[in-house]
Amino acid sequence: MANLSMVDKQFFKDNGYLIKRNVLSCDQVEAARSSLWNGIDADRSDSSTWIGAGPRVPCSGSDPAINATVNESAVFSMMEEMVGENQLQPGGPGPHLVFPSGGEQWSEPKHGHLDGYYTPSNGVPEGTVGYMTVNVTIYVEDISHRGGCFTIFPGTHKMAHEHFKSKSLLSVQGGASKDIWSDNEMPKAVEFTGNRGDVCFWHGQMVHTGTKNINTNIRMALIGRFRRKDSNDICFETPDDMWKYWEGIQ
Amino acid sequence: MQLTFSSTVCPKLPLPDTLKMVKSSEFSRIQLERLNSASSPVQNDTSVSMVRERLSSAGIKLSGLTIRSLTGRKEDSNERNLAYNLRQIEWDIHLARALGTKNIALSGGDSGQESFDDLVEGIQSLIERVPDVNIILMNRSDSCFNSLQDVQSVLSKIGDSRFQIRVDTNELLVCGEDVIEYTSAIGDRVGEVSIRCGKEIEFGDAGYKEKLISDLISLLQSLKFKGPLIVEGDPLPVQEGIDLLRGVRENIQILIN
Repeated sequence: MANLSMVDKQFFKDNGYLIKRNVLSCDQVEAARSSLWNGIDADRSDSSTWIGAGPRVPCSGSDPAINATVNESAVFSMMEEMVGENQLQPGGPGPHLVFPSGGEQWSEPKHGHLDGYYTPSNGVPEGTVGYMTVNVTIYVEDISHRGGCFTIFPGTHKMAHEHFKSKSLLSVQGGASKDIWSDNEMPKAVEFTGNRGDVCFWHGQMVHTGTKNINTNIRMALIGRFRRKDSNDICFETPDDMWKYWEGIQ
Repeated sequence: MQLTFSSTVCPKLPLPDTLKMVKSSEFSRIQLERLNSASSPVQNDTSVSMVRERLSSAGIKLSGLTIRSLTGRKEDSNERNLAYNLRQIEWDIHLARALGTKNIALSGGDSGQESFDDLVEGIQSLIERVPDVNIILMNRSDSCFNSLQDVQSVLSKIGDSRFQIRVDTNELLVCGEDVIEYTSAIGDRVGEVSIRCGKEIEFGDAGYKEKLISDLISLLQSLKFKGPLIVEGDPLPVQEGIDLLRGVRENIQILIN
């Protein structure tokens, strides 16, 4: 049975992202939260200890409860509904936490970045660009405005596609959107706010960013990046039809 | 043998101008360079499809792509990290595949046993991981792969026919190696041959003699070598380069015939 409607797919096509609510069961959410809390250096029952705590990655993505959020839920099949059945490489998400800052100042981001680009500390080899087809951000905590939301810039998947029709993939230093577009050219940022169990799918060439968390909750997000099985053959292609390799939403 | 223009002759020319030079020099094939070249397919203002279209429009066939060296090290810190370097090399290989060539030329890292070991292990890994390309190792005087002994060693360790050697005659002469003996030792694993032409001497600038070129071509013919014979050169003003390359091409063609 299909998990996504035609309206869902059209929204993704137009905006480069799609938010689906209550995708994970309560048990899946709780299991993932427990795995995260096992590695967090703070008292789960005392929110005052969460301020400025860590680590940002408190457990491995191979933790069964973390992996289950993609592979034992509808998340992977939802991505396949867009990209095509049996077209995606298997994979799982990893934790990306943003702890409360304890401050009150917050500003809306004007720019973000594309994933897959080299910086001296992110592990991407210099002079390469990691290829991603579709990515997913899963919340296992309730996250509201200014709570360190995963933030996307709708429509930038189309802007990026246009850019790379006539530019090298390596033309963007560190993947920074400000390297390509001015403030005025950038769309308004959209914060992904939601409850534990909510999921945001986003295009692999979508500009996004994190924001400061000035709320009390820890932003508990799991992020997975997925690519087509034939990505080695198509990663340098920018076809006229940007949905050529998305069998489900052509 | 396929006479092939090397973009090392004109490292500052962008691809459209390089292709004009290729045509003016009456070549029909080109070897592109990933590094230190304005015609590199990773120039900021060029997409891969644009490179393909430009080659196609010019009627020039891409012979191969010379990619980054297999040093076994990280570029930014010089830390020994073969896995990291192989990810770079593999990215370059897929770039070459996207451009439409399966001939990937690379050289090794600095001289030394550690670099040589990483080079062999790295090539073995690439041959296993990427099934449809030819990995062509270039001898370089300043690298861990530069002598007859090196080539004998590496060929004894990597038997796959998709692993081949580029005979860079200029680099061999710099190292004092015997070009004919070296080429004979490689036999049917010669993947590419390069010669460097210069302003002063008809065929080269590092002690080439016409007899050497003639003997080399005879040897290659006896080996039934049908791969690229790449004409490299030091940068020259465009028209001078065209005149030189046209002359070299004609002379080599006579020898081949």
